Amino acid sequence: MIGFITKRLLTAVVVLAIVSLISFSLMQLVPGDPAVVLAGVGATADQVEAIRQAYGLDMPLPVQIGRWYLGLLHGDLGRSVLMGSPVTQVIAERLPATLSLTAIAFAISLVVGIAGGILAALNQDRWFDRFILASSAFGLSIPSFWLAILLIIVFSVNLTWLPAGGYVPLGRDPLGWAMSMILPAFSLALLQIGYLARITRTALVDVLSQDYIRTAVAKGIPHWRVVTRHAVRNALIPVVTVVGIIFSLMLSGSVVIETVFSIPGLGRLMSSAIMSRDYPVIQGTLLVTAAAFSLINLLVDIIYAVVDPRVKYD
Amino acid sequence: MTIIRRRTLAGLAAALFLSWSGTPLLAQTVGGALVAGTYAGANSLDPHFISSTTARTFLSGIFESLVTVDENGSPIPMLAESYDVSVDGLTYTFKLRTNVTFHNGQALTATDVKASLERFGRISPEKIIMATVTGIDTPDDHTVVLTLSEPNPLFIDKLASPASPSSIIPASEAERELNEAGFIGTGPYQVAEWVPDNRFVMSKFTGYAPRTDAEGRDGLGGKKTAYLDKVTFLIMPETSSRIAALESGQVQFVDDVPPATAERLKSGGQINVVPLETFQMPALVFNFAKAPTSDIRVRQAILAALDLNEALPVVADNGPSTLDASFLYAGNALYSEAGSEYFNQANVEKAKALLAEAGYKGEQIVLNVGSLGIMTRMGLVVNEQLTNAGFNVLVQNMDVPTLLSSFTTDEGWNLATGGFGVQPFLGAYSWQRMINGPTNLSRSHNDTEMDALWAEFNAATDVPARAEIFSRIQGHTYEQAYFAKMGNVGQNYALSPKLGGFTSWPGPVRFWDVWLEP
Repeated sequence: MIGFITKRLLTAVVVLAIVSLISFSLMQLVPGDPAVVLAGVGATADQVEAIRQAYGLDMPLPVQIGRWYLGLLHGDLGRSVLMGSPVTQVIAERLPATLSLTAIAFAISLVVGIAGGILAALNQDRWFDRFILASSAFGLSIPSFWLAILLIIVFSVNLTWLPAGGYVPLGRDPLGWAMSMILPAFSLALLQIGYLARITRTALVDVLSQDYIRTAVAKGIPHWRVVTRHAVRNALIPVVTVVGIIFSLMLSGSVVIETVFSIPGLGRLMSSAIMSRDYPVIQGTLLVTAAAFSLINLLVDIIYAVVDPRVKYD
Repeated sequence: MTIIRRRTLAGLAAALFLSWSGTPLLAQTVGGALVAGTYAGANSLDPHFISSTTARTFLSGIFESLVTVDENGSPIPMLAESYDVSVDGLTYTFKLRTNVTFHNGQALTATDVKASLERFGRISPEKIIMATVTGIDTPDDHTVVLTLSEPNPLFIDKLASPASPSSIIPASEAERELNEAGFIGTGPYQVAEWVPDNRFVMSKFTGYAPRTDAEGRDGLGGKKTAYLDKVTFLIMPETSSRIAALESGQVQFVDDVPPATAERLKSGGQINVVPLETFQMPALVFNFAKAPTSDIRVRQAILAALDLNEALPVVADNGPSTLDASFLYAGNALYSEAGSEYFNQANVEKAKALLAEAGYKGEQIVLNVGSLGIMTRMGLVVNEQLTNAGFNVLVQNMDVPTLLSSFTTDEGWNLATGGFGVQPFLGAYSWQRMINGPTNLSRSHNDTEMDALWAEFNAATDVPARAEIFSRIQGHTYEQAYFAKMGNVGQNYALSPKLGGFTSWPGPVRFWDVWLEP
């Protein structure tokens, strides 16, 4: 297992290096120049050139890439062209908001999605099952930004229970933090709840019709124990696979939700960096996101081994 | 007629407010906390490196400069008690106000001013203002003398510019590099918290010493009073959630309210809508360097074809707008109507005749359209009107950074959607970069008449002379068809009826002399 994790981590480093190389090259192909954006309309060519030199944008591409990799080895992701602050600091400031949002949304979708799927499978073809299937279809079809605005109108404007937007750091006001997270986390989670509920239901229905379940029931094991010990555990394998995908979808979905709910997170940072061609910030946020994806995939593989004893990594 | 009446009323209201604000006729409430939802954050909040409207708004209550602008954009003293210019125009002597303290409790001295101006000259995007300053002397604690290498009659106008102001900060802070100086100013508010992309919080500075020679607030100067204990700006880029926050009472003020929403809020009666008629001047910029717009007759044909009675409401999304040819806003001492015969001609016949004369045979005219809402709408309506008039237009949609690069190259475009936000407010001098010299947007490379006009303008020492020359500059810009101004486009602010004293103007949003009724 240790050998497997080490190997995977080393592969992840290679993946990250390649992702950075591709994004670096792609950014150069896009027209528009951060120096022009920063200098503003009416800046002289000298002013633009001075900014280019200050940020090393005048150097040949291989040199820029080389310098960036070298900085990376020292934990330095460069400085934001537009904000002037180090990229590591800019990212560290935004990370808690995105982590709060995705963690809560992830927890909501896991709990509600898996529980809904299990209950639906146990009540197969009865009204509860149909209700779960219908509502998950509903959840899957609603665009998250539309749902977000609808929730704001109902819970902020009409009922005035929850704030319409903004982010309160956990350390400053835990209750305010929770209040500010409910609507965005739910908007982000709803789509995934429907997805997870369907996957869980299908997997469990399949498992429940297996011979070994009938044997277990025939042996006189209580129903709840058959379900929790024998059925759910086996049904979880396909679910674990999609959990990794769901987390990635949440990270990308957070761009929209962070904008609608005015949350200062990584998604908004990345989209505004792209719009202003702030190369170092784009590179930095992509690296962090790619690292998160690699890590999640590794975790999913480890969880496989825990859930399914047949899976062994050597 | 309507337009003129509306403007007169607005002027009257502003004048009335100014005369009220210093007297206790209105019940100003002291205390309270205001939360404002704003559409954008700020990249940099360095007192000497400001490059966005929001950053100007955040910092206008925090920092002050020696001279600043009044309600009409004209220079007035702020931290300077007064200033004198020597007869040869080479020496500027500023007498500082003696009772001013910084937010850290330290008294303002000439040393702080010298250090601040040096830092401003080193890192500001407007550092060119300091290029002719050869010496800054401090003969005593409250006198600063600037020596110029050559006369610069517009020096005070430029030093007063709120675009990226020459903020005065303590000398100890002025040693710091870009983005590393603390938020220590002399303004009526001090910074309490700044979380990028999230919030900017300022609290009342109890040690603030207002000017005593003014009745009340005047532009960014005059006698400023912080009635509110705390002002929080929440950065809310999504319009619908910003408006929802106002309607739910989470915030008491929002900016950039779309016209349709403004109408709905007005009819609800629970929210006040305050329009700003003069927020920006959208314009279609012509490229002199690339055929067929390199031919003045083709450019003039485009000017002739545009029907702004139809186009301006589209560009403004049916929000506040005025059909006005001038490059400055009404009220500015240099306001002129020169060239208005070229504005809003709606004359397709004239356009066709000019095209025939130019020998135009349907060559492609590339129109670069930016992805901002106002640019997209301008692109749509301009494309339709020009196509109907017989032009062969190719529309290229692009994001704003790509569009901005158009203005730095001769190739790849004939027309581009653009606009002027701060220039009309800052004043005539600020137009030079846009239409003259190596930085002009229209890629005009040898307009010697324009060069001569600006040289004359920059040497003029009094306002009437400048007004006369600027009128000729504006006329020349229209004759040569540098760009087609679409009109003046405004924006709406929406606020709680409890928020008293708020007035709109083209400068940064001001939260001093503003109060919240209980």
